Amino acid sequence: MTLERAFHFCSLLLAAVAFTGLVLTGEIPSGLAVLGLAALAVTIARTIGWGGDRLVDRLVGLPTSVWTALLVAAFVSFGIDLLLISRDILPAAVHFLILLMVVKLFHLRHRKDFLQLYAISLSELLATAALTVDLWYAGVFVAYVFAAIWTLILYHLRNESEEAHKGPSPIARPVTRQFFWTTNGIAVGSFCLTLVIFFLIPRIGTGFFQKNRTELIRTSGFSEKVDLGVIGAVKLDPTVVMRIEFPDVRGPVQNALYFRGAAYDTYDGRSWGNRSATRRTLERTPDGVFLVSTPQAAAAAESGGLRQEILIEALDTTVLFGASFVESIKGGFQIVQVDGVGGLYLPFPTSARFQYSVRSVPDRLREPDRTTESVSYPDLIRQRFLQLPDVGSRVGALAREVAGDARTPYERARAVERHLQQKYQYSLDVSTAVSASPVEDFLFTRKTGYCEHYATAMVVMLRTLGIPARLVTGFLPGVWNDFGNYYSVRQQDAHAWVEVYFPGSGWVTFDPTPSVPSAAPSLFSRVGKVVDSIRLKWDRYVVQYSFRDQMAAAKSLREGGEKVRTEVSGLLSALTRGLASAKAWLAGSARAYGWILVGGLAAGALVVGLVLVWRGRGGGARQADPRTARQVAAIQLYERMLRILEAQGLLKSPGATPLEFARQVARERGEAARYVEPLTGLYCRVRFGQAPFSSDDDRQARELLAGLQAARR
Amino acid sequence: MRFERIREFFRWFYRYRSLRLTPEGVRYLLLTLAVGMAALNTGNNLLYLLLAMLLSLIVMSGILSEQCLRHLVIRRVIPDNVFANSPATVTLSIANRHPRLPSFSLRALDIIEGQAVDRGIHILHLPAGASASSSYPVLFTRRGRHVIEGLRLQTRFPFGLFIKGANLFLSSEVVVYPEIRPLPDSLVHDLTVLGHDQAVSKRGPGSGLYNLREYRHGDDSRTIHWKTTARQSRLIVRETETEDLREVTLALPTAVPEGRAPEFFEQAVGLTASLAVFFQQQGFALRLLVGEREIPHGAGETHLHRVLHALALCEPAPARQSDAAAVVGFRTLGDRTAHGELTIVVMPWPDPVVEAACRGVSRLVPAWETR
Repeated sequence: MTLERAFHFCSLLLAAVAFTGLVLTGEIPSGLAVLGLAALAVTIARTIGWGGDRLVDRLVGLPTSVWTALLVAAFVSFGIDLLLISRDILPAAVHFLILLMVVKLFHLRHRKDFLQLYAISLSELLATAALTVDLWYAGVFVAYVFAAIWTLILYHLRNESEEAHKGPSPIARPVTRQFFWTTNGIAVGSFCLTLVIFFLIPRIGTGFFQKNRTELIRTSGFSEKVDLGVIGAVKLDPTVVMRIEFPDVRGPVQNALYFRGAAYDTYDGRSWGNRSATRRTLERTPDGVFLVSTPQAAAAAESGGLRQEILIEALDTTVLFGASFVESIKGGFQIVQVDGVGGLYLPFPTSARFQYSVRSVPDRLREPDRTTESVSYPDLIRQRFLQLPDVGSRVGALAREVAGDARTPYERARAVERHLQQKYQYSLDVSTAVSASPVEDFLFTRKTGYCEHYATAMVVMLRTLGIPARLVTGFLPGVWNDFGNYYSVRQQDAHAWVEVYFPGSGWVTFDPTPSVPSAAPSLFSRVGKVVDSIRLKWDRYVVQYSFRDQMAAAKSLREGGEKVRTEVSGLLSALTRGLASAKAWLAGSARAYGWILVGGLAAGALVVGLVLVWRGRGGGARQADPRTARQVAAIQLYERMLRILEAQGLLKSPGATPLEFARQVARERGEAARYVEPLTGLYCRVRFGQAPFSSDDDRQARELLAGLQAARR
Repeated sequence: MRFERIREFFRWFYRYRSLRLTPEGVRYLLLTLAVGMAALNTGNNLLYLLLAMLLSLIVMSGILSEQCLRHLVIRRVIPDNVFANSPATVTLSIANRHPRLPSFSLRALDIIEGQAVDRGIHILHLPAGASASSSYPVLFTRRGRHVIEGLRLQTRFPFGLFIKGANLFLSSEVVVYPEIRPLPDSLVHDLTVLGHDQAVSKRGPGSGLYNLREYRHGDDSRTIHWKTTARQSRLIVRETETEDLREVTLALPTAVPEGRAPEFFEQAVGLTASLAVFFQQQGFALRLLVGEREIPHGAGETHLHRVLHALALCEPAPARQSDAAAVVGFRTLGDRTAHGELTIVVMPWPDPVVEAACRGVSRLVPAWETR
């Protein structure tokens, strides 16, 4: 490929990469996407010689007035789009950009046309950055960097060639291997430098005018009133909702983890609600920590708590999740609210993913609660957590039967939990049709269900036994990602479980849902884990990168610097000691074996001298290739011809000149001669006669090679 | 004052390197600024990423352009004899001494009196270890000593956003000879006649025929004139006329009489140089008297260049009444003419003192009349 053709190809590739980014956002109307892709496909196909010449030539040949009219039409459509269709500047501008790109693709005549196409492509990439934060943007960005480097270098060389020749001058020189690798090396260098600069630019952005267009993920089971069966609807949804790291723990956490979201105290026979929905605002400490319980409890949690770093996607709920039970929470928010059942909330949903830290203390049943038979509950607890709808007498009878001779509330709760885990089957294939009494249906008729049914049944059964209990919704930890050391929590990990009240211990978690055996990890799931891990890093270190991270990095650098300084200082003193002892040893050896030392030094000096002399004579120097670029191109083409002929059984002997070999081909394979002779002539003219090697010659040579390739025996 | 100091600092700072934006570079910087503003406003890290990419291209531009300008060895060759108002060809060779990396898009500019002069030298690609030569015409409009102070190498590689220049102290000095013009026909005729009238023929080495005589023992056999030998049936040899005696002194007074402007001095210098060339071509032994300086008789190209060199550097000086040395050399011209030498005084201005001293010379040529 000549530099000229590479230039056109790279210019189109740059536009194609930026446009692909826009398409991947999913914000482009399909008509515009098809139009843009078709225009790019046709122009690229024409550039690399795959056809489309007639169509493109016809379009390119249109008079300038037609292009002006098209541009005016595009501008008018932008106005209409802005005022009537999209009614928003960004989508309207993006649509306008695509129309401009299509017009420009068929109107690349002058230098400024190419510059305008580059500006359009950069604007498209900017628009993409405003429309998405997904991981694929990284791929588009890397491709754009490479395409941009190639394009700009070729654009520059073409301009220089034009200026040197005082007029339009296509660059007929081929893309040599050295040029290819040099340009890619520059692209790699630019990319590395981009990363360095990216992390160094101070993040003083305020985000005042940012419009985040991230689509909120719809969740179920965290609103003020939850109908039975809503969680089942999302149990097959693999959308990642959050990723959880444990900074103090290596590997997955061994204890059962429940990431608590909302809790409900009132069941009306069909749905759960919360009578104590009134929220109070948590107090914020000067260092930004919200203490959920008393400071004393939080101080205790400092020693034995479980610390979590949670990166949560943009959800349609304001609930903040954390492992049961959250003691303190810290993040980039100013207000955190808590309701009467321990649910944590933001005042309003966030429109972008965000990160926060949580410290939790697991529930712990105290011994008196385990053994005490008669328990008296506070009035408030009895009023709120013993409420029962009309569920029929059968449920109470079943509960008593299951509790059997269990003496303590704890044993009764465990008996009910065990009964549900063992006697009922887990199934998502449960009709969500309206049932008059879903709990009775589950307990006596269907005997299959999923977490909500189990948890509701347990709460109802415990309440019939006079044990205060409540339903909690949240998430199970999901899948442990070995590559990133975090739990990846998906919609399908949504879960409901039970909390039972014990006067001495508080609320204790029970989970009546039987565990479902997880599928064996497949290659696909492993790849998925890797991708997810990369996505997490992308979010953490690129999308969410902030001034706080920069300060943390600076602090760790400073600490690292001090450590290195200490180590270097120790190393130097050790080295000094070593040198001193070596000196003493040498002095001793010289006294004892002086002649050996002198001989060794002389031999070393001789070797060094010989090496220097050899280098001075150019023994190691490289010889520059004296051949010109066009000669190299001609040689490459001729060598390709020889390879084709060799594959067809005609081998050129080392002693044969090109013309002798051409005559040999004519003798032995007459039909190949019409390809070989002109190719040989061109090769001899360019290589030995210093003849020019134009782009026409290049095209003709490639056609001849294709013909030779096709003319097999 | 402060501004001047800042400017001075930048001049010092950029004494080896200079950097200038191209039109494309200006647009690129504006675009980068716009993206930076957008990133600041929105706090969107993906916009920061784009900003970082745009900035990295600027840094890469600096690194790669610097690489292009390093390890280059440059030689400028100026011809020895350069005449005013006559184009001379200067050759510039640039060698890339880097073992691996090529240089791209090099332009070379001469620096004359602090100003960069584009010579149209443009090397698109200089592979590692290779060298390229380029010639360009130069035209000096004035005689005298000219200095090409240095050379500025420029490159726009890799993206054409900046023009980076490397100032190299490649100083070249050239002495430009006076402009040589065709002499007026009447003057040429007069000089030819004068030459014949004053020539005294004498045997000696030369090209003109002096005499034919009979061969004597010891004569060079190559001097035998065969036609005459055949005609007379005895060996006849050809004797040549010596050229030693065809001597000319060109004199150019440089002392400007009081109250007179040296307006025709340059013309007189040019005329003297043209006469020198003319007589050198005619085979005369040439002597030059320019002001108080004298270049003795001599012949050949080298001697002519010595004469032209003196003429290139001569300058008019105000005449001093007490200083008689200025015309001492001119006083002997009459005697030389009497001894058969051609003596020509080119008068840049009417000067009775010089004219009195030059009594008896072959010819006084007033420069103001040969315009």
